[in-house]
Amino acid sequence: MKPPPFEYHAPTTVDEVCSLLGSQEDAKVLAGGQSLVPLLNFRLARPRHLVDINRVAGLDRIYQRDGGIAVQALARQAEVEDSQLVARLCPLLSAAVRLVAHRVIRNRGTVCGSLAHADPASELPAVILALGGHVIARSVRGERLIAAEQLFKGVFETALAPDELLVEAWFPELIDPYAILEESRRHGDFALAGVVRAGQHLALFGVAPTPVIADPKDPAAGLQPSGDLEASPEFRLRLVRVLTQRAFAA
Amino acid sequence: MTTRWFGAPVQRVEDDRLLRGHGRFTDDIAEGALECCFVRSPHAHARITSIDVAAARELPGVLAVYTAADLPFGDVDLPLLIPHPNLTHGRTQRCLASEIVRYAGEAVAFVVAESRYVAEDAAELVQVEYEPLPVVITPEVAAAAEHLVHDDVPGNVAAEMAQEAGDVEAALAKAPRRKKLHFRYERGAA
Amino acid sequence: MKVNGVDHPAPTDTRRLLSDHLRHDLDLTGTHVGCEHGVCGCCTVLLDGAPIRSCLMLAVQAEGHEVTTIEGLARDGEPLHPVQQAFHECHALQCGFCTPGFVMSVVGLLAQHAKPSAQEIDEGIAGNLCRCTGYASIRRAVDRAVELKK
Repeated sequence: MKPPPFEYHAPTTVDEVCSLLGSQEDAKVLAGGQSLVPLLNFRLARPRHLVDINRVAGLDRIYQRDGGIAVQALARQAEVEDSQLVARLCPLLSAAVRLVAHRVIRNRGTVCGSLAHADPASELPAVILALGGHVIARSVRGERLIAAEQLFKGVFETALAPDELLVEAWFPELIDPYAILEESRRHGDFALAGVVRAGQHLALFGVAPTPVIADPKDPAAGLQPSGDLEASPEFRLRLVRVLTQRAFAA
Repeated sequence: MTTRWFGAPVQRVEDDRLLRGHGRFTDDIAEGALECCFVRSPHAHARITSIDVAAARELPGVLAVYTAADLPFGDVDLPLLIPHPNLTHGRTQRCLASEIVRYAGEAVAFVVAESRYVAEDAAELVQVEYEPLPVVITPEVAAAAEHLVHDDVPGNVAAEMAQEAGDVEAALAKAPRRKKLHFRYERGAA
Repeated sequence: MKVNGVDHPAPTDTRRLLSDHLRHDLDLTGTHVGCEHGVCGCCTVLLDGAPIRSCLMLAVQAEGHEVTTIEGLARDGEPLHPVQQAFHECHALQCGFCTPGFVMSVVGLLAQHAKPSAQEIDEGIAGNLCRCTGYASIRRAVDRAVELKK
């Protein structure tokens, strides 16, 4: 399965990226490519322009600021996994990134890319939601901060405008208590359902069009998860209850 | 009889070239080979009312686009290779569907091009008009036979076969516990 | 881009996948294609020493980087790399289709964990699918490779 035709751009500065996103209609950012290229290969995504940001220097830092960890657009998931800084200040993020697909995928995939892609069954959106973090989006119109609870709008849908680049994700420091638990058919598969505990906050993934904040005492309240070949709605609800109990047992 | 090979581990002789990446799998054989792509029905049951391959044929890099109408054997059902004695109404498909498609994925057109990239581009240009027909996709629905998959297969029954061993009723009657379970199996081969 | 230490000109077709560029433009058919969406592992190569899916990278993205394919692990006439040798000794291949992808993934795994635990091995090879062996021999091959590397 091969990608459909597109016009390829490889800008070398953030300004160039934003200028391209602002001027080209139907453009998509290519960062790690671990979610976008499969969609291209299946021809489920057919952007007219592909803006490859991998040539932009200085966009791959993982650093501490304002009581949290900032992860820039080109920081690979594997780099976050190996980061001593992250392990020390936000071990939840370290634990979560280890659950994303497989190491080989994480060598290219980016944290910001995962957030921008907003797959309802993925871990990192739920983590940033549970922690109450934010992202920084940049365009020709300037920079803005989007809080996690405003970011995720629907399945593969975020509050990012088509001409915005997600330049940085910020995760508040949290030493403990934390937990991330998910159930999947095989290690590395997308989760059938998962829970993230950050202190006394709880976020769920895989059970709604976006990650959702839930009440640890009644996590399944108001949920209407979908059923598919992998799991029935009832099974997903049961997973939510059991995993929440385990996450808060410690 | 020598016991030279029995009970002793044997090392394979073919590993070296496979481990070095010098295998010759089908797609590894270049030698000017062209690549193809099939256009397939998205419908589980439908009548084909038209197939237009003109645009696909025009695409640079495309060598040929075939439909059943282009093939001398286009209206011939594929042979039933191993007919089972219980098969009273064996039916096969055609290599490319021309009048009717009977499963989602049934091939309708065959594109041959210089590369797979071009073949897929051309496949997208093939226009097929379908008239959807009632779908019959579970054994229960098929057995109810409200709609026929083949006009000449009464009740949608291709074969009937029952296998029994021993006295089932007596065994069930004697059993200390009885459990009824409903299993659904996918088709293993088609 | 450098492939197995040799400089090659940039690919001209920007939508060409790295896997196809290696196989069809550079005649390095040792890297195989199974799923083209990153889940089977057959296409795994090293990019600057780290394993990645070549089916999920555009060939043009490899410009300026070093790619190592299965053909680059041990040159013709040279003895097999310890991971390759271990696969042979432990009968960790049958048809050989998934093997280059597994070998490159294991090379990456051992660069990350010199002596991986059983769980690290399982997680490390979980991204590669094999239809023939049932994986037990592949697990053994990873342990054997650790021994051979000493």
